[in-house]
Amino acid sequence: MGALTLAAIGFTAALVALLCLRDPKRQRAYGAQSRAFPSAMRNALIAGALLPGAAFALAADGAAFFLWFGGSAVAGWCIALLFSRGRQRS
Amino acid sequence: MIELPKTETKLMVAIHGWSGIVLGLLLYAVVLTGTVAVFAEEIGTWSAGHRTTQSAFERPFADDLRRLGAQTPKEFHGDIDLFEVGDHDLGVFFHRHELDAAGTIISRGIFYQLGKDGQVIDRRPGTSDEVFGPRNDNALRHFLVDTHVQLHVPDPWGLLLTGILGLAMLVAAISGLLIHRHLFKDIFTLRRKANPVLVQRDRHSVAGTWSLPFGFILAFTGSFFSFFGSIGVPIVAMAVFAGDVEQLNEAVFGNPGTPDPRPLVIGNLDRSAADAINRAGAIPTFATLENFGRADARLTTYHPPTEGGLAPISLVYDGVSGDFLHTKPLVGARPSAGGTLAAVMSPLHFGNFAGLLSKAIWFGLGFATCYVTLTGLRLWLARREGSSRALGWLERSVTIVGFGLPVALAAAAVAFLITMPLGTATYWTPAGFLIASAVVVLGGALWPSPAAFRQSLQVAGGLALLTLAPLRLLMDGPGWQTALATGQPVIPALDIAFVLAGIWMLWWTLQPNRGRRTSSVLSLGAAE
Repeated sequence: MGALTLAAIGFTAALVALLCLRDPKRQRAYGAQSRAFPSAMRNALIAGALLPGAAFALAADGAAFFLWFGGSAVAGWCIALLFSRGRQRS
Repeated sequence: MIELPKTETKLMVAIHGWSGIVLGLLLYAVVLTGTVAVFAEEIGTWSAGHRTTQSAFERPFADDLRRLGAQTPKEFHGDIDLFEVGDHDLGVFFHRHELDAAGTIISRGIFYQLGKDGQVIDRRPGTSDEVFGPRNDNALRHFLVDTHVQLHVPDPWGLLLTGILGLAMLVAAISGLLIHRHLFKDIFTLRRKANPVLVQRDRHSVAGTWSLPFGFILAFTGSFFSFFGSIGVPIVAMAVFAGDVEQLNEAVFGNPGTPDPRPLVIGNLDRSAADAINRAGAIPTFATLENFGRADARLTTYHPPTEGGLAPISLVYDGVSGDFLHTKPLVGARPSAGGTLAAVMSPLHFGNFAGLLSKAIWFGLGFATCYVTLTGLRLWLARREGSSRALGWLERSVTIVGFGLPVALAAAAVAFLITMPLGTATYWTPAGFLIASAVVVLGGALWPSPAAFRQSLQVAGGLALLTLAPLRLLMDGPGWQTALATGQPVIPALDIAFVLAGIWMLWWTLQPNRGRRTSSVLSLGAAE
């Protein structure tokens, strides 16, 4: 269970990192040059990020679901913190 | 995104702010100690230098029980608690239930501690409070857990207080959800070079949004545990069992059946324990033996959740034949939705359902909740900096509690490590915490600027964390080689974790420009 759950958290974290990098509000606030994802792409990434949780829920694997949910929440916060350390517009 | 009318939003902002500001510092103390207490078991092993990995339940104990039963007055044969104490020794508590002077039900009897060879190394008559209270080798672990559970306030007031704090956290989470109109739009926006109010707001709302679902879960389950024994059980006992708590416990949590008082010796409980470990896939965390020496004796073993499961499990064995009887729900005699809900409260609160992985995640969620609480307090202050009310005392209080509490906890660990070999850790662990707290409070009151004092506390905290591992080794704790050889990798792992945390704190505090940036960003600036 541990390896599969860790992989699921890693998968979700990777998609969250992509969402963070191209987040429109963050880009406006930081004055970043790269373009934000279009909303269809953002929605697809969000759905993809939630996919492991849905799979665990459908499999009625409560422990893996809560591990994934909690791990993804911690990872999401860490990603937001890490990516805020780049150059920002004053 | 939830749109509320302007007046309701204002009301929610006021509820959110005031519930946080009135109870925020106490809530922070409860959450921080809870975050550390996620690793209470590992901290207990690390601090006491335990080297045994074989559980007491994996060694034969049935003959010892028969021997102890012959030495123990029959009045205490009704209930026996079996649990691990010290370095995987077996604790056996023969007891009966009775009412104390205040009318509260207590357990009274005789406690034995059995060494690895089955010999009695401690025998004490006493109540459950004395038996399950702090001991020299678990004083640090006990102190952490007791601070989290009831802030060292006597029963039932401590539990009521932490229950109310849990409810305040629920109120703050719900009102925070309602007032934050751009919950998901702002989920990655952390401006570092904006005005101080915006900086604090971003920090608070981003951490709050990511940890919001778990804020609900931790607050709800925490309140459940606090109110369960202090209010829930007495009310249900009054409503259904004419106030008889023992009858309630027997009906709801016990093994009801037809009494059979015929005298019969206990059977092969070693076989029962081995079977329980095999069925549950884990060592029991606790076991009880009812009606010792009677035909209706029952052994119940309590285990953590099985691989992939969320709810802990309990197995019931015939105390005379040693045969497995059935799996027991936490509540009632048959499985039920309520029983399952009650059973998952504990793993969802403690995060102990999947070993170190779940504990590490729960630690992260607890840390995020601490961060949300502290940044919320500082945001509230930052927004009021321009007002005429003097809030300097509150800013100092936030600094003292927010950054002083980790220092005082580290000081308690230092006091424990120094005094445990002397046998005085039960006194000096809380005393070390109180002395450090007094120094922090005095420093906070006298230091010219809260920002400078905050930096000093961070340096002190970093140094204290760096001290722990060398101090443990200096006080004859097991070295890394011994710990690894005896199957206790958690000892070097925690040594490394404390050293890394100390280095990180010092680096974070002392890095060039940090002081300037801290004072410009964290000092209270113009209101939004």
